[in-house]
Amino acid sequence: MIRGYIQRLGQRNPNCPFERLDPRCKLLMLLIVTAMVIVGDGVACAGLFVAVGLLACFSRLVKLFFITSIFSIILWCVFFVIFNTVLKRPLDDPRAMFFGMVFRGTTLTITGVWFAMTTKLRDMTAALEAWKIPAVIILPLTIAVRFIPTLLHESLVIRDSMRLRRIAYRRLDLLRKPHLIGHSYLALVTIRSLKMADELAAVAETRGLARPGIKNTYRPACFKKCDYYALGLLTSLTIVLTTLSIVLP
Amino acid sequence: MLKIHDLTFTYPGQKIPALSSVNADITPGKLVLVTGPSGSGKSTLLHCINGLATQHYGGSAEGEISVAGREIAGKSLWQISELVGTVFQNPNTQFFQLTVEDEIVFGLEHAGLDRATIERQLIRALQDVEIEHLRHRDLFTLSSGEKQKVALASILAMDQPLILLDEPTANLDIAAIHELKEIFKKIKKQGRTILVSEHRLWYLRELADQLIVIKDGQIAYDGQPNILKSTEFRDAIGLRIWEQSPQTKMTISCLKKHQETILKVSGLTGGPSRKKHIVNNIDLTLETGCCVALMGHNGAGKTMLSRLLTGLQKEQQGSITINGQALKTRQRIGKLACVTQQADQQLFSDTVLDELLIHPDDAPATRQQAEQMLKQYDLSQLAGRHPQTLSGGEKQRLAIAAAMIANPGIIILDEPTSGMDRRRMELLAEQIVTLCRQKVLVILITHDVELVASCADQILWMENGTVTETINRNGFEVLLNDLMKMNSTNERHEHEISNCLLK
Repeated sequence: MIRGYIQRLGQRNPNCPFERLDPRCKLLMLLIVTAMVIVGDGVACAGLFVAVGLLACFSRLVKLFFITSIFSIILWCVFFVIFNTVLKRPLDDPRAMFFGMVFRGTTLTITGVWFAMTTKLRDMTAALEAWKIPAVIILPLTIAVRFIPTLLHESLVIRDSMRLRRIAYRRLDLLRKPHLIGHSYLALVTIRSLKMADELAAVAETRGLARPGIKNTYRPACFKKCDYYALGLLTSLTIVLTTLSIVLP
Repeated sequence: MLKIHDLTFTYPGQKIPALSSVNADITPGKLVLVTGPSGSGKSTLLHCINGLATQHYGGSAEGEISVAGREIAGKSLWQISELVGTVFQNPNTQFFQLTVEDEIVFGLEHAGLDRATIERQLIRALQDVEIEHLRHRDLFTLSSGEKQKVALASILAMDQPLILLDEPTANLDIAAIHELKEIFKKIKKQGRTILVSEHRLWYLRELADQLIVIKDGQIAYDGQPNILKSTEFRDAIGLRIWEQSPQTKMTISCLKKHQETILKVSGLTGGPSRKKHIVNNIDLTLETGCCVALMGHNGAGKTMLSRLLTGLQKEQQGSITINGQALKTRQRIGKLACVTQQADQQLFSDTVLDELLIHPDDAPATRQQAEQMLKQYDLSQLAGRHPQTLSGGEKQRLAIAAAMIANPGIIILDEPTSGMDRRRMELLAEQIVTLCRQKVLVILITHDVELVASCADQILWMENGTVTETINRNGFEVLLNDLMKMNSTNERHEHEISNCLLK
């Protein structure tokens, strides 16, 4: 499943309405949701949880939504049992903790993943450039995201090689031979990454990326009607949830 | 288009020049084939032309290079990049973006072109390379052939007059090589000049206008490619086949009969998930001391079969019996050795000797055994070196030695000759024959017809996840000829590409 999501990071889907939104709009939405999750009470968080569930339905993240929710519920249950039976110190407010872990946690996770899945690297950098963010911030960000699939691929290949030679092929080996795994695995991943970074730098130079002067963008970042609608919808939701928080006990 | 006058280049810290007194004159619209043994200076020549040799690797160059009448010396890399486009050997390390479209427009955006021009050049490049359908795809989910096409499209979009390609077929299957050949034809018709550095020569026999052979940093030949027809010439330099299909040699195991069965596969089905099966209902019986070549186009299921055999992937149905014992997925791990094309991803230690001494708890190797193994693989003098500092051939020998020290009885070699010259390929073939003599079953996953002709006893042809044909040595010539299209017209070639073995 993780591999599938990582692949979707790089796959452009022109039919997806969320991909048509300006990344700055999505960034603003992410900030508003985060702020609401932090300051909102249980009612607001429950409302956001439902809204995020709907968002997950339209952005092929339903499976992740349910997995995250169930995982949070299990984690809450584990804490509840540990505090009540082992530590013999019942939780002060188990309901608040449930809201915090399940509603807040799931809402933030799904919104973050939705942002990552529907925002392509090139669009993001174009949006940041439009915000006049300096290149020293944009460039490392671009390289970091570019390296995610490479690092994942390298890690999987090296892990398979270690299994083939029976160096570390059982889950327990992580506990039994941490030095060997750390040394063999991390050192090799680092060496391979550095080598690739050097090759990429050479390629960059032969493609004239150091050229001075004005750079144009094929997909320039610009706010469109749909961005305003999306922000308007979220603002309305915020007002409704805030009102409900005040009205409902 | 390209003039090189008395070029001598030395890498930093080296006393002997990598290239000395190189002269060449290439006229516009030609496809020039640059070849020679590994380490002879082919890639260095390309790096001198695109400016990387001096400005990225920091070497010192003497002599003159001019492209389209303009002197390269004194120009910065971005200025040279307006004249020269380079496609590198490894497509995985030449992408900056995550989608095909973003990658192609990346260079155009940096050139400061307006949106309309970017759009026009993007569409033209996609059409030239015939990858319009890949426009929105994730780069990292493409096949090697598709990636190489995207790399080429990114360069074609930039519209440079001279295009350099460094071993473009090193990671490609035969179908992809034929497709690349068609693209070269198209680019040539557009009047662009192409310089291809290659070990695989046969696919360029109808396209190359000029041949430059480099040996020990010097030009050994510069002229018509027809000279490659001469076996004496190719033997003297150590070049791969040109016109005739490879000669099948008699191997050790062909002479033996009544071998013992070591690997038996019955009804094997499996894939990356329960719902997705890449390998379908395979039945195999393989004997000790044999070399079996697993061939087929990309995506036919060869690598998945090897993952199932080695226990890296769980089978959905079927059984795998090794030495008469039916083994479950986890039990198979380590029972079969496997060496992949990227040998440096399989070397974990600080020294060559330690590499053989890393061992699982249940099968420790002694220092004496390790030293003996190093001697057998001609690595004794390198025992104290760091594995990552070895040459490609040495790394591969070490990876094989490290895999064989556990005495597995079966070894899988996955694309072992990718980017290898003829001499190294022949050395590998000798090693394979030696392994067969030691009663090891060698399974070769390869597209290299020359390697197959040199040492394989049998070809298992895979299509759609199953073995569709088993070909013995007397049938090799017909198949290899078909694959290389030695006796076919263009029409038949196209028909075969779309209908038969290849696609």
